Amino acid sequence: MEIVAAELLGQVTCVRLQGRLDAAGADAIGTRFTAAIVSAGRNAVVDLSGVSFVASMGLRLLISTARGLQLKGATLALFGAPPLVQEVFEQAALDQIIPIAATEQQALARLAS
Amino acid sequence: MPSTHLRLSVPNRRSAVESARAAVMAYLAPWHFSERLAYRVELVLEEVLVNAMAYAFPAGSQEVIDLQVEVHPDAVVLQFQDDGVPFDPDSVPEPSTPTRLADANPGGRGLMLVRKVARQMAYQRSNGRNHLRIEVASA
Repeated sequence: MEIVAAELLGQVTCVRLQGRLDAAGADAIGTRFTAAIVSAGRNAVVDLSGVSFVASMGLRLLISTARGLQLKGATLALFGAPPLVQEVFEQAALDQIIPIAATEQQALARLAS
Repeated sequence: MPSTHLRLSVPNRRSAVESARAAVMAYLAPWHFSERLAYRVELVLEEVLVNAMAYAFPAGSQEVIDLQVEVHPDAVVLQFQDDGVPFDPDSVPEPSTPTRLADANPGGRGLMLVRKVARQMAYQRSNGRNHLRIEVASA
């Protein structure tokens, strides 16, 4: 698992991931991922289009990071999850607590509204 | 002709999970299962192995988790055995599904995901070993 980019889209942090978000993947990027998102304290989106697999430790990283950002008054949204990853999100009812959109544009629009 | 089952002994360290995953996927490749089935098998492997490694054994111990994989006509059957502390998945309550992020516990969803993708899960403790049998439907 790699963070392939951490960039600014207007006033929104965008982090793009590549690889498997399993226990090993979450361990590999966890500290940097949380730092890139939470320390900025602004709305953020995560590009999951390069993520082929998510398991419970990946969910843990996403939820804990979203919670950390919420404590700073900002929101994390996810987008671009491949179909089988999206299925895991649905099985975990993740969209009840974290906005999940199909595209980058839709994710940014969710945060703007 | 593919063999009737795969047997692996997975050493109790996180780095061994990927080797086990690769071996199971290579074993299953000749059946050309769907991407969804492959994902579900990988999910079961990940959640069960990572959980066992976290909880079953004393920290730093040199234990193994024995894994057997069989292809049945309508399911892939995964069986896990270890000598670790008793762990009955039915003793773990389902996590709540919170509607507010502030109420959400980040962790603890591994078993829940396994239950969503498995059509059957059976646990037994015998001869000082945990036995966990999980079926993932292939139809």
